[in-house]
Amino acid sequence: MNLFPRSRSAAAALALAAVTAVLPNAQAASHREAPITALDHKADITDWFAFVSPERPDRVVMILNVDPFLEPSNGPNYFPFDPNVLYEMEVDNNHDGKPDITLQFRFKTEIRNPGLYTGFVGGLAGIPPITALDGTGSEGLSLRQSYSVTMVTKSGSRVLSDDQTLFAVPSNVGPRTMPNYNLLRAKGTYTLYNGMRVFAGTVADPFFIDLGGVFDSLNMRKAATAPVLSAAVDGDDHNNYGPNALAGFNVNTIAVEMPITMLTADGQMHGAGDKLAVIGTYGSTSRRRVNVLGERSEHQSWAQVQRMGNPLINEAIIGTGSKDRFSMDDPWKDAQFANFVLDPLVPRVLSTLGVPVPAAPRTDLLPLVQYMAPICLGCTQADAGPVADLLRLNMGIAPTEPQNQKRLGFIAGDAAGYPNGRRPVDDVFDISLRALAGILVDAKTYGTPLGDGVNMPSSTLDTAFPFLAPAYSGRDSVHQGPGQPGCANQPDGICPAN
Amino acid sequence: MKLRFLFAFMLAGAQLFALTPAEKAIQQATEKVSRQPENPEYYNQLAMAFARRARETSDVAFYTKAEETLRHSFQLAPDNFEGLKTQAWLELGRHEFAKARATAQKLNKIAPDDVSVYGYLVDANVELGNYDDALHAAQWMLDLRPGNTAGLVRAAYLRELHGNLDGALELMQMAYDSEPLSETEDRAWLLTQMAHLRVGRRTSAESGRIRSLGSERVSQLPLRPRDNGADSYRPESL
Repeated sequence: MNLFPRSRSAAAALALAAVTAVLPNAQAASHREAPITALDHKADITDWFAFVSPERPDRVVMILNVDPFLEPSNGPNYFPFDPNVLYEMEVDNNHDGKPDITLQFRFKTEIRNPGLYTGFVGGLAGIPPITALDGTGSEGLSLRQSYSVTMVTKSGSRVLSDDQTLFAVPSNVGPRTMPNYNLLRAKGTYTLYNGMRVFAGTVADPFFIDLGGVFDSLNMRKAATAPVLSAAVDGDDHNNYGPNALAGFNVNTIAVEMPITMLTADGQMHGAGDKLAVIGTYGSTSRRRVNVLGERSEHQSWAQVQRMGNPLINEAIIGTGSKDRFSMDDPWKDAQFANFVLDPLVPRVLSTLGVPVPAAPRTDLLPLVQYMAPICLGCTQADAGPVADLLRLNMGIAPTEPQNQKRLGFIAGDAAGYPNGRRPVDDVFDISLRALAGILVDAKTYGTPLGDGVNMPSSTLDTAFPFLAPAYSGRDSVHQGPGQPGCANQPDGICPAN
Repeated sequence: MKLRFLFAFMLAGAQLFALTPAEKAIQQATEKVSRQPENPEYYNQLAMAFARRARETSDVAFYTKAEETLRHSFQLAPDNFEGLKTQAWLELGRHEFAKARATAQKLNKIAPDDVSVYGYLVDANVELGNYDDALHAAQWMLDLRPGNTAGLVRAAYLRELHGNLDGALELMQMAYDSEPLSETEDRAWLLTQMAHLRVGRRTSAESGRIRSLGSERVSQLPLRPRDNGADSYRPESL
């Protein structure tokens, strides 16, 4: 008997069994993200939004948020984008699950004053306050980032930003360095080809959730009446009844606004009943890859680190042993994960809490991952396309004015809200929990008003592009915790601890 | 008395020091099994340790021991994940490549994030002649855990099969640089493979013969300068 393998490949297997035996357990769990992405903050997508603009209803806004839990005071470098990450927004407009339009964002960092001890100085030592991103008033902006925008379609790739330099807006350091931060930030919105607008920079994180309660095995605040909300708490879209874990934290954002006619397959606008009005979208981050056989093409030289279509799919539905593969694979191949959608774990957990839930298979959840009603009203069974985690948006449904938007979106009769696209105001935790409990099957039987009692972002959202609040100030901002201020309708405005 | 005790102590210490990585692994796993004989995970560790020892010693008896140990694990927990991984590895060692591929495919379906399983898929598919599947699995290894040693070595081998020896060496060097110093046998193995690649790059006519040597264990390799043009090769570097 030949003990030794006859080839080096099998020899490699033998040698490397030893190597892999000493690797840490690949199944180590991380609830917040896919395990690998959790180690790569710069490439970590926190949220993905797509909605028809209430400001300009012939346009769509897409927002990619990355790099979670940025503490606003965390100098001296604050929060640059990673020049080694390729940030992308992808749009499928012919319902095959594959991107037809891709917007690519690449960042460059310059250190303009290498002698300075921090990235940003103003109103000190003869350096004027920072009031501009370039030229006069920008002297104290030592660490500065610029970026390019490229649009890739079937007909080729086109740099949309070649006639101007686009600067990313830095975080808000504080009032001495940046005395009028809102004005400074407004200079970071640029108009590109065909009236497109773009913004990149640090903003107040718009997400809102009682993370501590949710991830302590759904140990919600009873004082906020969570997880089964009282009518009063459930009906109040403008107050928080539990601590918002994201309050006081910044996040990095890339936002674009583009004409609907740049997004549809035929370049026309369509009514809500027409399937051509419906697109599927996602955001992704990629890094340079080592290619097995060496470089072949531009596409092959990037490895996707993460993607996001619907919120909370990877976090709440995909099994821990599949989260990385899910993050790195293409949405149109998601049939491999379909069982997680058809038989998710969360409803079984909810039923142990006494919440009625429908039995698997959960075909009612398929509209989140296929083109069908109620989002794609004009789609027949033949138009459903592959199972793919895309945020689907019917661009023929008119946007809701900001003052009339409902946090529960579509299930509260506000058809312009999640899961028809997603706006920053949409309470995706409450909506997703209810969808998983079966509200799409039958709102009477399975319509338990589940939620965390955190009903809105802690920052005041802009009602115009880029629709997010300016970054929290490093010097002056605070967070919110249990037993701390932040819940106006609770006794003394204190968020409940229990 | 005192001196004899000290001497015995030193001898025991020297013996412990003299243990190979696989012997150490066997010792540790045996202790764990005797402490908790109902824990399938410890049988898996012991089976893997025996399999490593088989490679170190060329003694097939260790494969048999590995298989017996694995049976204990499956009795306690049928089809447990780590046990199936060890099984795939043993199947590769026995050249049962179709079986190994089936086991690896089953594992990959359960946990698509496990990088070592992709390694088994690469190995089995190469041996079965399914080069595209092998490439696909190797690329997933590098994408899921950029820079992992197991992935780099597989990718290097695939580059070599495609005639790209420089590219293969580059990846092997990356693998060697990231390997912990304590993994002496792995490091020696990587260096040996790199040496073969360097020789192969110089005289491709010789490479077939050298390749066939590559499967032998490190201590048996003819590590001396050759007269075929590879005379700059320095065995001392091992």
